[in-house]
Amino acid sequence: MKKKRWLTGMAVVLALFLLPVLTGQNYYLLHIGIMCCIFAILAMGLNMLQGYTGLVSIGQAGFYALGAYGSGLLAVKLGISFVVCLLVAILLTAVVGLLLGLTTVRLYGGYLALVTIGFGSIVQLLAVNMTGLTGGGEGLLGIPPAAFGSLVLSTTHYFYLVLAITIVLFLVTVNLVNSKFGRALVAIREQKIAANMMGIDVARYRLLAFVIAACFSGIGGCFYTFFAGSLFPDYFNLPQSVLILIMVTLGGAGTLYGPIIGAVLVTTGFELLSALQSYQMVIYGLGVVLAVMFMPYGLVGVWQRLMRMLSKEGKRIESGAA
Amino acid sequence: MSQVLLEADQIKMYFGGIKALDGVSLSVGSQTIHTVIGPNGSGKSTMFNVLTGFYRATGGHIAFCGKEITGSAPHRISEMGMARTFQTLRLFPEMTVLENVIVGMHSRIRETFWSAALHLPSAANEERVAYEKAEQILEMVGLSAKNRQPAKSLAYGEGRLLEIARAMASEPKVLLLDEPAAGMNPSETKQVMELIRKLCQRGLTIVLVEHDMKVVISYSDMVTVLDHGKKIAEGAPKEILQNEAVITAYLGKRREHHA
Repeated sequence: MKKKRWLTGMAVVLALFLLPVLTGQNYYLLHIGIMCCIFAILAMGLNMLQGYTGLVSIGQAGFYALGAYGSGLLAVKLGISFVVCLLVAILLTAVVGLLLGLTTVRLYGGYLALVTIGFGSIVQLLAVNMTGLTGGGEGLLGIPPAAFGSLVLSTTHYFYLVLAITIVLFLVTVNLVNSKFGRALVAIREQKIAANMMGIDVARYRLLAFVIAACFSGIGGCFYTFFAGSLFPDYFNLPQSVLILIMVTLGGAGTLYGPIIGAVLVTTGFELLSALQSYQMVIYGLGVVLAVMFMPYGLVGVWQRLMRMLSKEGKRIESGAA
Repeated sequence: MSQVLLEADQIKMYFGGIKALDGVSLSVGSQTIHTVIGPNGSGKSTMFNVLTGFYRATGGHIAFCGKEITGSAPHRISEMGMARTFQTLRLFPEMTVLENVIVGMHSRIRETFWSAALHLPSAANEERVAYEKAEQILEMVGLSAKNRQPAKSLAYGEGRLLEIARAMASEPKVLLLDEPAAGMNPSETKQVMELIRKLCQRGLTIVLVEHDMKVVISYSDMVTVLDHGKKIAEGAPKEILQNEAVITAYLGKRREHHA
């Protein structure tokens, strides 16, 4: 069973890495692939908070922006290299995530959601108004492509890099979820008081989830910056935060694959349904309403239920025939 | 009596003008079953919440293993070796039965964040040992067959057993049980009480809260009776059953009622 899962995983990874070769390094497809990875990272981060710990944040675009502008400014103004920018983006979002976590340590549900909306707006407004630094609405322009020393990464290379990091972060998530840390987060989501009595420091683990979510967004932000080459505050608006939330909810909050599936579906969906333009949000909105009402674990949950039903059905037929 | 493991001295717990506990002292001997009884609203559960750190007492002191724990947070007290179950089930419903027990081991599992994130051999080993231990504990309470089921699928009585199993997983020195027999039929009650007796014989100290005194009194070494936030009697089970004040608290005074 475990071996089979490993093999499937390896096959999927191999297929993903071969994708650029098979598609003749089609720029448009690479672009979609990179954005899928970036959003998968963002959604995996939010999933730690929303899915496993049960804390809703509608301000992840704020951390996304911090990672993006943090690394973008370093690269443009100081000419600092990609790797250092990435590390600074992680550090910056970790610190801000910790601060936001500390200020909201007693908030749950809608109240927490409101504060995180406020946080997202604050970050966006800072990006708009600190024109001297960020360029405001004119945008932060001229961000160089990512490079290691003198090796400037092509789009294909960049796709490989982002894909590799996404896979690493996914594996880290899997490991954490299957450790005392992941169990502590779920215990807090399920039964806060009992969790506390089992020796779990609720406040501390909440902060941990906040910081992980923030760091993942920071990493996503940095990768976006070096891919896009320019940053505009409008991109990091409230709908962007909602979109990340939609990815997690639709794919399956509190599942390992859910956020990735959600990120890929929504990102490619935007391309496939581009003719519908702003009506797309109506479709996603409807999807979320349905997910919240009927699919507590999103599409992954539906899939799991289906598999369980099929295997039960299979067993019944087998035993019936015998 | 053997040495004192848990000692509460003159505990006061006021909620505004309501004196839920008004100077209650409790002294729990090591490896005994100490039962706190009293009518509904007498302050039993409040006492538990104060002892485990969920309420910060308005006054008084608590010592556990000779250390002052007054005002400590629940997770700290839990780490020191106190575990409890809840009157209303507080399981982790979406987790499996096995995972529920493993969460109970939280402070005993030695994993650092990075060893867990990278699944280093040390963390992998801790996980393996934890799963084995959890399976043993579930076997002890008789829930082995349901290991992989989500806790929400358990029957009520099984849920109570799982709460005890989860509390045991933290390797406590003292186990506080809040009405472990509530809502159970007589045979289930007997099963739970036999389990509790077995745990005590293995060296665990038990504090029980119960409002139905018939259920537990025969299993107890020591009984404390609360009424309206005050201790009205304390002693061996037999003495308590004949105590005038206890009978009055439970049944009222005969003459007054007929007057």
